[in-house]
Amino acid sequence: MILAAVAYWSFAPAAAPAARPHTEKVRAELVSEVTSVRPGHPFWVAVRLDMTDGWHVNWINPGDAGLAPTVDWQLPGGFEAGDIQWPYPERFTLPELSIFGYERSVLLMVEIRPPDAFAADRVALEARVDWLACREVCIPGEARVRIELPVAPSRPAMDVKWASEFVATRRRIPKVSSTWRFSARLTDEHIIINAVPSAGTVTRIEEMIFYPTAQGVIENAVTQELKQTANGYKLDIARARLSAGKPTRVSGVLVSREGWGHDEQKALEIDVPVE
Amino acid sequence: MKRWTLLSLALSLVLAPGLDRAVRAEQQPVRATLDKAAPGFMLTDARGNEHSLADYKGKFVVLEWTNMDCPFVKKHYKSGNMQKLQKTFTKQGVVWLRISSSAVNTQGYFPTADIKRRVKEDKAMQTAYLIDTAGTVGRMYGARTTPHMFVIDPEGMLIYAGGIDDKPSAKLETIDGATNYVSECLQAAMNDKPVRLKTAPPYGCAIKYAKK
Repeated sequence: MILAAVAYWSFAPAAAPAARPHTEKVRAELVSEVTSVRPGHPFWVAVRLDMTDGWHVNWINPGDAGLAPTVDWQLPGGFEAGDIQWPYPERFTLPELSIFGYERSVLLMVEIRPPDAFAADRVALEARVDWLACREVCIPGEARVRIELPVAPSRPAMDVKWASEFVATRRRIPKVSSTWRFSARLTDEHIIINAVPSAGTVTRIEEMIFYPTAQGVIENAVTQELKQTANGYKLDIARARLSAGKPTRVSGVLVSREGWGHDEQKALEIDVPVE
Repeated sequence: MKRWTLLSLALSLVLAPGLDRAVRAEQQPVRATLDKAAPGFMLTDARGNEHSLADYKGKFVVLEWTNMDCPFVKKHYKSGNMQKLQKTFTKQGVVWLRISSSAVNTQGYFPTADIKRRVKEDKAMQTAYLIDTAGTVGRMYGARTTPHMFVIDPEGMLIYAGGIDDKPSAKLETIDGATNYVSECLQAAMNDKPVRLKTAPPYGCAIKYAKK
């Protein structure tokens, strides 16, 4: 079995799936949206985490406990990696606490920017991935992931194996809205976000959740109250009790279960000063 | 101020004659807040002795939420980091209370014999290891993770609540070079200097609270 795995690895053809280092609760692999690398043309790869049933990994803000996965790249000379594009998370509720993260599987997409010119037929992208897998208990995990891609001057083809997962993940990455306007103010115990659509945006939102990018901003486990206003919606969020001062900005992701009225996008970015 | 307290007490007696104080206390739970008086509590240690926060008035008190099977707690005990902190500060008169709010039969819950054995094996130097299986004190303080650290000054004010240091990781090698916020807070406060950082994100395992 081990021999077979080693043999497979050594003679793996160019666009074959990467080896899957196993740990107990999470499998990590590096996948590419395209089947070849074109000098000077950025492309997308993703660290794909595949969780055992019932286990989750965390979002960039883990919520009340946990740790976000980290990716440490080792790339060929002149190659650059962008930041992880975090899909919006799910909320897991424990007694007294709420955790933000992902179950089943998640693609942590990263843009790779190759240099304009380089002398190689193939490139190997490598990364060291660390995560914390939790169910009732938490187990730290890590893996070294790697993918090899051929270099070609032509426009790269999509890898059909992963294309649909990249498309589905893009839909979960928060976008800046051109039709909704957000503002935020504070009361002694709450952050109040006002969401106002531009004229003509028709939607009925039943459930909206604010996920702050930073820890320690809100009481994660307290229910957020959505109310309709004359011209939009008002979301009432309990402020973190154990905080040293008042937030001056409200930054994070707003997720509407029903979407925002124009496309399939459910998550919008919010980053506004406190009024 | 006093008059208002009396008035509200009188009002509440009139309005809610059937409710005793405990019930009303549960409806309006006391919550720990930075720079306010740390809420009082009484818990039993692994030897069966009772410890009340009020017993330690006049001293600095550290509360360390713990779960001896949590990888993040293990990082601080396997490295000897936590024991070193406990030793350094208890020697200077600081009271160090470890609290486990793990519900019965969840991770971090141990029978008292196991607690005594494991504390000894770890060579832990806390003043007492307190058992909070109902999670009452954990909820009151808003403790979320293990570890989650709180510092109370001799006047009984909460002066730090948060992570133990600036290296959110379960890896042993992250101890070296970490800025320890509890140590920083105590050193400043014990020398009558302002505490630079009163809170930082706690990191670690979720506390395994009992369902309400």
